[in-house]
Amino acid sequence: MKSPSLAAAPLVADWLDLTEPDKVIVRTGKVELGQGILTALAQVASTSLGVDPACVTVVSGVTGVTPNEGYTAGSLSVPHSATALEAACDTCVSRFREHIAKRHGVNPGEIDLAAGRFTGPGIPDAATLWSVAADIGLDFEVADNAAKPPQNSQPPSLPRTDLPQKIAGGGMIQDIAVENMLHARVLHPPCLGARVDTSSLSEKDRSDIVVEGSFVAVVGDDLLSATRKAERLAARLEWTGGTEITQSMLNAETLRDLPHKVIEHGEEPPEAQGLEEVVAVYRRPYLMHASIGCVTALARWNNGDELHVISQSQGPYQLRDALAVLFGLNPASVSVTHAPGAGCYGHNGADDVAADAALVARHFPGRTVRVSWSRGEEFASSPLASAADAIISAKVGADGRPVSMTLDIASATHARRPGTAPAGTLLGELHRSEAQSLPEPIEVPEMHGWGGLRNAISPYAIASQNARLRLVDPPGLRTSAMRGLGTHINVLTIESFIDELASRAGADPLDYRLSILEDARARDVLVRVAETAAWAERPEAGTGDGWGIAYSRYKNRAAYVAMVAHVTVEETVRLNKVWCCADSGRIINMDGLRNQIEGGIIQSASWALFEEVRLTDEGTLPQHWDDYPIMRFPDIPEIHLDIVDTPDPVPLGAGEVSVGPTTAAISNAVAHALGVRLRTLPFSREKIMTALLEA
Amino acid sequence: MTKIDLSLRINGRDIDVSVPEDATLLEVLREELHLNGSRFGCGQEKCGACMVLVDGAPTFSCGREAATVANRDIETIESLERNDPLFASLIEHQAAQCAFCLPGIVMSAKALLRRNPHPERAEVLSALEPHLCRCGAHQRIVTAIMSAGTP
Repeated sequence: MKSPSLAAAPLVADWLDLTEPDKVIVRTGKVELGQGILTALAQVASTSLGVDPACVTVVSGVTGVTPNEGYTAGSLSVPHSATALEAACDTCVSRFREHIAKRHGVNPGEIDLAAGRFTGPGIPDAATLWSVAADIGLDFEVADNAAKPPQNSQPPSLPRTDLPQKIAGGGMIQDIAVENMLHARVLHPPCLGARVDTSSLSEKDRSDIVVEGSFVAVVGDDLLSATRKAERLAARLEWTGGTEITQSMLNAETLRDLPHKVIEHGEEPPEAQGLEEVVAVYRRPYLMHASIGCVTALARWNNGDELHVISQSQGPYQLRDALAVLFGLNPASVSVTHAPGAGCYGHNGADDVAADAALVARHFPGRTVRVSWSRGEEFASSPLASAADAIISAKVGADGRPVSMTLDIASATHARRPGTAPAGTLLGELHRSEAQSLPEPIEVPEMHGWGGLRNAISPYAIASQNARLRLVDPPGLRTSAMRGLGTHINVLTIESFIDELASRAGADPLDYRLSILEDARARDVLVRVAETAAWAERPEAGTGDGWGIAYSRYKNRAAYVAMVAHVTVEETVRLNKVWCCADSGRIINMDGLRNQIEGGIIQSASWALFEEVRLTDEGTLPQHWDDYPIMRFPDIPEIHLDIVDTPDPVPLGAGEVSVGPTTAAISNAVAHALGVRLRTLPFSREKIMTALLEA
Repeated sequence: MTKIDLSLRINGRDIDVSVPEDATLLEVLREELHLNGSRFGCGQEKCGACMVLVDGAPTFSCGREAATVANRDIETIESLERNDPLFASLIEHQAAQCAFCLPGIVMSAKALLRRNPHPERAEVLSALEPHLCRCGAHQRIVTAIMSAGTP
């Protein structure tokens, strides 16, 4: 199948620049978020063009220069961008070979390519990638990626090209400074919809302040003075109105009571008489991105209507278009250039802070303005990942296996990024406007793997399955995309429920799964992980020592992942070890793949055990790490990761594939340890105590 | 804003600065001296991104007024040599994703490795307790630190 990236950028010249001898410039619309994608792409170009990796420079995420490949999201960067780039490189080499062959009257099959040089009988020394590019250019269409070796003749993983600089303390957007730069801090309203009253501010207060509607920012020549002034002013600004958030609104069980629209996936199962129905409810709370760095952006206006932005956004083109709408500009007058920030796991404040910088910079034409959010803003002003309330039910046959299964999920939207609505996707845009209303919530369409419905249909052979999303719009809460979208709650729910059904049937959870799972690759990862983890030797339930297993195929069409978790439960859950077996199809950069899966395991384990958005004692969203604890070093499990070497020519992605089965395996391990099942995340001390008292 | 004159000894060099009296060490490092490797993560001494060594001891530079560390030995990530075994070990184990947290972690690891060149896993986990990593590179980071003392 042709990569969607090629539809956006069909020519070899869109991807490659061979102007300068011995240099290969690769252009990609995907951006570096810490996942190593630029290294994987450099490796692809170096391998396909037969050049040393040191020759390759990757230009990434620059509007008007690099291909528009949409968001760097969805575990799709290797599947889309790496395959497109590989096809571009392969097309280039094969076209160059034909050109040389024709010119020198030789057989293309006799021409070798090494170190960028074409050699063979009758070919002059001068024939190189660069000399042929100078002769015939690169303006020809990328051919569909024909015959790739039936996988895993993998070259060794190219080490991350950006790490030396970053370990040494460089390479972050927060470090970018230009001559005569201004710094600004934004004073965010305490809640969405609040209006600011600036009437009490003195003339002196008003110097160096930008106020547009209820968008307020403080500007200074240096970061310290801007920060101190913002702190002083924040204590004095008066805000009125807006949607105050209560703890009850943050509780997942209240989601179902909100007005909602229903999105159905699959057919309602037929009435089945005489079969027993089993029902369970699983919940997760609202979660936060909680990146370690604070989002930052730089913006500069030139000539009144030309805007240049440097941003850590996941989607430079989508941000560009949203900024163009915000300022009533032609998109061609706006440029967005990506620069790396701290880890990004979804729609965080990166786009918002870029709009903040642009809003402030418009008041200082010709000067670059840098804006960073504070930790409190990072927590309280970034979009949240939605809570969810999932009711799962099954009709069970006499053999103990499900005949039908229905998953009914209440959740807010996972899609409020720039580009998902005509306007209103940038926080500063909302604060500035009179209405301050969030765009209508939407469900991610099936072609993009669903949002709330992602992985809502189980992978098991069940005669009738359906899922229903009740898409709610909780007032005052801006939710959007975070790693895996609905896959986390849905895999938790289905895989925990499968364990409950296995237990009813008196079957081992692994055997039960294998009895209703047909896909050979799915069975393979389950069997392998069970072997490695010595699953067969797990103790009886209820000893405090728990083992859980889980499986999912991400989006029901990408990587196959099986997980075993081992926990010890006393007052809290101690996650000792996680074994994972993953089949991610063709592997481009093995170490990058492993790193992504390991990271997903840790993040998901942190969600499962520690994370929950709760109101602070002051009635605000979390402001400090104490308000929103995440997994720390002493809490980490040992991870054993086994990657399947599979003859699949298609890479299936890695970034999000492990988050569903990790939490599910932990859920099953905790239930096994306690002999009692917890069905609401996180599995905290409080939840364990309650469950044990009720048992 | 009242400014004060300070003499700071950073990575073995004496540097005179004139900074606001309440400026934190992190603010002076980043904004005055453009030593950007020490990172602002929270300003609350909770994430460790800003960790430096003061007289060899890991210290949150975000919570320390620069005036309190005048004339003391301050080491930042910029002092890490490329041929340092820890640097090599981090590269060998590809021990990062975004790497934002890493300069701070490296400073705590330096202090640990000076005390104990061959730390056990539990000692590394304990030394890194003040640090947060959100990408989930923990296992690689721990392995890299444990291996750094082994040539």
